[in-house]
Formats: sequence, C-alpha cells, structure tokens
Amino acid sequence: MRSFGRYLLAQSKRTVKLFPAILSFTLVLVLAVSILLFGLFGNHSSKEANMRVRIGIVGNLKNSYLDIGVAALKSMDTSRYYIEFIELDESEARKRLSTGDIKGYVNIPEGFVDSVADGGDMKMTYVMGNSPAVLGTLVMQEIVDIIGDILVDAQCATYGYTDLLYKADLTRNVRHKLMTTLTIEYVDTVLSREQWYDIHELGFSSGLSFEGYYTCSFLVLMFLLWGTVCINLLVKRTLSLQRVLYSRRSGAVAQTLAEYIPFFGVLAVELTLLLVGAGIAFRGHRLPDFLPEIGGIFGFLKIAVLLLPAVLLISALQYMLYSLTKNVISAVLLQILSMIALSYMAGLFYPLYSLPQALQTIAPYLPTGAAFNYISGVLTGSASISSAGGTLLYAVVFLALAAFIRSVRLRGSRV
Amino acid sequence: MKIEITGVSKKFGKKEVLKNLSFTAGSGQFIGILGENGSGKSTFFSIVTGLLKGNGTFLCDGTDLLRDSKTRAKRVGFVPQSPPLIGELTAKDNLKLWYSKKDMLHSLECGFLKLLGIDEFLNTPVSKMSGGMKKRLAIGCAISHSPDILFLDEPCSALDLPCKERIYAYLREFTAGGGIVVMATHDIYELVLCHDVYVLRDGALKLYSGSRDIKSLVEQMNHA
Repeated sequence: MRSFGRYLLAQSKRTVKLFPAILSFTLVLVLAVSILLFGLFGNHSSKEANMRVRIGIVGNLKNSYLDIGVAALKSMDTSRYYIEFIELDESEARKRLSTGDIKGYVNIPEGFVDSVADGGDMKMTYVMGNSPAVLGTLVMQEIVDIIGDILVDAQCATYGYTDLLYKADLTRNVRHKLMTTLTIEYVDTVLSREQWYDIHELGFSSGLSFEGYYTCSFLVLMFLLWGTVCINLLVKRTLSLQRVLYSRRSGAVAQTLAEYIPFFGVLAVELTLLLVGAGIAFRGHRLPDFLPEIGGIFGFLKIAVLLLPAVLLISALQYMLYSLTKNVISAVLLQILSMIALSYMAGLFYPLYSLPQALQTIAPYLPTGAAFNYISGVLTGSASISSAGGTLLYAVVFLALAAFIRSVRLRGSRV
Repeated sequence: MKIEITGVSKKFGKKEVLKNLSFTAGSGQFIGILGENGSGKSTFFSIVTGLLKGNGTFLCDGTDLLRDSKTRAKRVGFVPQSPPLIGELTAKDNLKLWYSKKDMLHSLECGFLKLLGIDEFLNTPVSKMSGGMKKRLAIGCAISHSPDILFLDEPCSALDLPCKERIYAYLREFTAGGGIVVMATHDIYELVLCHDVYVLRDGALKLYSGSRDIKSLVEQMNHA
C-alpha cells in the first residue's frame, strides 16, 4: 500500500510537470474544433433558413385569374424550404436554369386553366436541369403538383362563383359588385393563409437536433483527442522502473491505478477549466437552442461533473491502448486509427441511421457509442445513474485489461 | 549469511536459454558474471529477482527467495541495465519513491547516498543528468530498503573512469559491510573487484574462480 501511495504521488508530480504542455495542446485543439463548429453552425437558423428554392413561372399571366393563382402561389408557401416563384419569359428561364439561378421553371401554356376547367387534357410543363439526386426529382414533382393544384383550384373557384352569379337573376352592376366582393374575399382568405403546413423535426436520435447530435459527437472526439495529447505521460519506452517496482511487490494492478488516476485527473481538470471558461464567455448571452438550460458558471460546472463518467470511459480505453505500445509513433498510430474506426462505427461522423443495420445494432455497445449515448443523455437531461454505471463498467473492464497487459509485459520483456 | 542458487533453468519455447545455473556466495563476497550479449545474464537476473518464473532454488539462510516474495523484496536489491528513474522528476523526487523522508535525509547526510555522491545533484531533473549520475541514483534507489544482496546488471556500462570508481567504492563498502554483490558485466577489467568470476556461455555457468589477475583470467577464458 505504501509503495502504491508513493508511486501514485510520483506519477502525480510528473503529471503536474507535464500539465502546462498538455493544456497548451488541448487549447489549440479546442480552438480548432471551435472554429470548425462555428463554421458549421454559426450562420444556421433552425426556423428561418436561408435555403430558397427558386422556380420560374413562364406563361401568359395577363389573364387576371391566372394572375390571382400565381399570387396565391407566391404568398402561400412560406416554410423552411422557401420556394420563390419568379415570373420569366422562356428564353430568360432557360438561361437562368443553365446557370443554376433557378432550379426549374413551370411553363403554363396559353389556355391551360380553361382547358382544365372544360375537362381538357392540356398540360403544363416543368423544365428542370440535370438533377443528380432522385430526391431532387421527387421534390420537384411535388412542387409541380402543388403549383398545378393551386393554380387550377384558384381558377376553378373564381370560374365557379362567376358562373353562379351569371346564372342568378341579377343586374349587371350588382353582379359586378358581387364578383368583386367575392374575389376580394377569396383572395383575402387564400392569401392570409401564409403557412399551410408546419415542419416538425424529430431529430436524429434521443430527441437530439442536428446541432445537438454533432455537439455530442464533437465532445466524444474531443475527449479522444485530449487523450492523444498525453502521449508523453503514458507511453513507456522501457518498463525498467515498473519491473523494479514489481520485484518490490508493487504489482500490475497497483501500477496501473497509480498511472491512470493522474491521467484521468488531467482530463477532468481540463474539462472543468474549459467548461467554466465557456460559462464565463457565455455569461449574459443566450445559448444556442440545441443546448439545455445551463444556468451560469455553476451550471457549466455541473455539466463538467456530469460528463466525468464519459471522460472516465474514454480515458480508460486510451490508457489500455497506450499499454499495448512501446514507442511514440506506434502509440500515435494506434490511438488515431482506433479513434477513427470507433468513431465511424458509433455514428459520430455520419448519423447512425445512415449506417448499415449491423453497425446500428453494435454502435451503442462500442465505447464511443456508449460515451455518445451518455453525453446525449446529459444534454437532453435524460442521463441516469444506470447509464453512468454503464460507462463506469466499461472503464473497469479497460483498466483490468490494461493491468493484464502490464503483467504480461513485465514478465515477458527484458530488463 | 550465505546464498545458494541451484538449478536455475529457463526455456523460451523450445529454446533452453539457461541450463541448470548454480553458484554460492557468502557475506562480503563479490560475484562477477561475464557473458556476451544475449547470453542470458538479464534473464537470469529476472528470475532471481522474481520478475520471471523459472526452475531452481535461491536459498538465503535456508529461505527459498524464489518462492518467498516478501522476504525476497526485503533482502534483494536490483539495479537493472536501464536506470529505473522517472525522467521528469528530480533526484530527490525519485528517491522519495523508495525512501521515507527520514531515511532519505539520514542516508544523504552520512549513509550510502552520501557515499554515492547523490547529494551533489539532488535537485537536478533526471532528464538533465549524465549517465554516471543516473547510474548512481539508480543504485541509491535500489538500496533504499537496505538489502543484503545486490544484483547489478552492467552498472558501469558507458561510464567514464572517475564515475566507475565512485560506484566501485560504494560496492566495496557494501561488501565490506557484509553484503553480497552479484554483478553482470561485459567489462573484463571490472572483474578485478570480484572474488569469484563466472562465465555464462551457451546457457551454462562456468566458474573461473579466485583469480584477480586479469591476464590469467583472459588466458583461462581463451582456453575454455
């Protein structure tokens, strides 16, 4: 026990000496990741997006009823995928389609609405550029259907009440007055419906939005990268000291714990410092929507504490990987390759639902997947003691493996 | 005090690295083991210090130290070829890993740490020490528990003469106090210190006893 305490103290002193270098590298990493996050999410607005699909309308719009229909089109469709209808002649439409300024244009032939109203089979044409994605074609077909329905319905409505008024026994002035009133009422009713559908985002998983999902992914990747920075702390070129300790009855388990505890401590301190720093930076500002209500610096401190089980899991995994290597180059390669493979399979790079079913099944059981699920629970407020217990179990398994590897290396290697 | 190492053997797969190694030594004796690179010196030291499982016995005053790890940890000190030091820490912090504060201060004032000259570079980080300083510090760490038997694996390799002399002076003091030293070396001239010299060759230990005459020792080895 005494030798464990002394070795733990020695490793802790060593960690303190290396801490400034470790923290510097970590800050550089955090800066790089922050710039990347800002670039991805900085200009993004979840409700009022800047994505506008521009569709041209080609046709003789001098017909007042057709004009009402097009006005209805322009006014009714406000949504996340805002569709902007632009009135063009055909040559202009072709030109703008070729430059990509519009996604396509609808060519409404002369007499289209009358033909439809009379049961004819005249068709309007939708012209679009080469779309590489099937989805693009389907969306455009939907848009064309919408255009057709709105135009035809609008025209039929006006023709309908016009016919009724002509059939009624009314004077010309009264009929004209009623037609104007009905038209205005119709237009008011239709045009006042600015939004006739809503879009609800269910999110990727566990109730996370797109931004929330990738925030969790980045946190896991950040923990993995932090551990990589601690190479000098953990790579053992020679086990000379450890063998002497072993000969003095300080076994592999004691050595593993005495080395791991300061390593975890460094990561925990870094996480706390960074989150408290974030709390100070965000003080008085509104946090992005995808983050939970954190409530000041103490809130960030609480989040840091809640995230510690994930740090424990990832750091234990990394410590175990470090125990397999004897030099810096192989340690770096092993850490990075493992990080990339485990991150991809856990759905940190691409959403999990886009991966093959087999990967979707195993992802929650991978250490990176388990860490991701735990962190997403913290951010959505659904983390529980059992989920924290799951991460602790992983950590225990990895540390046990590391101790076993140490034991094998101690007995196998030359002095 | 007397040690008897008997029948120490080790196989790695089908290859027998050590074949029935045996020797004895008494208090104050200095045993030298000479051997080429890869002859098995380090493997032998690993077995007697408990790092590797091997056959045989290592009796010290009737106790088999190969089986009794507790007594072995108390009575045996080991200085490996690569100094067991933490590079980022100072000599003082490295000593604290092995010594209590009281024992360390006492030894630095008037004990073996003073004799090794470690007080001269107590606050120097290991990464900034010379090879000789590291070796001396490694020996200082190995004797923290006042062992009776000291195994040293090439303690003076790559050191200059003044440094070697310092270490030899300490080892002479150690044996003069009744301790037993077993030293593996490549350097035939270090064998002047030794009472008995063994050569490890083809897994077997052969005694070239008694002679401190290097010339005759070399002749004996050449005729082996």
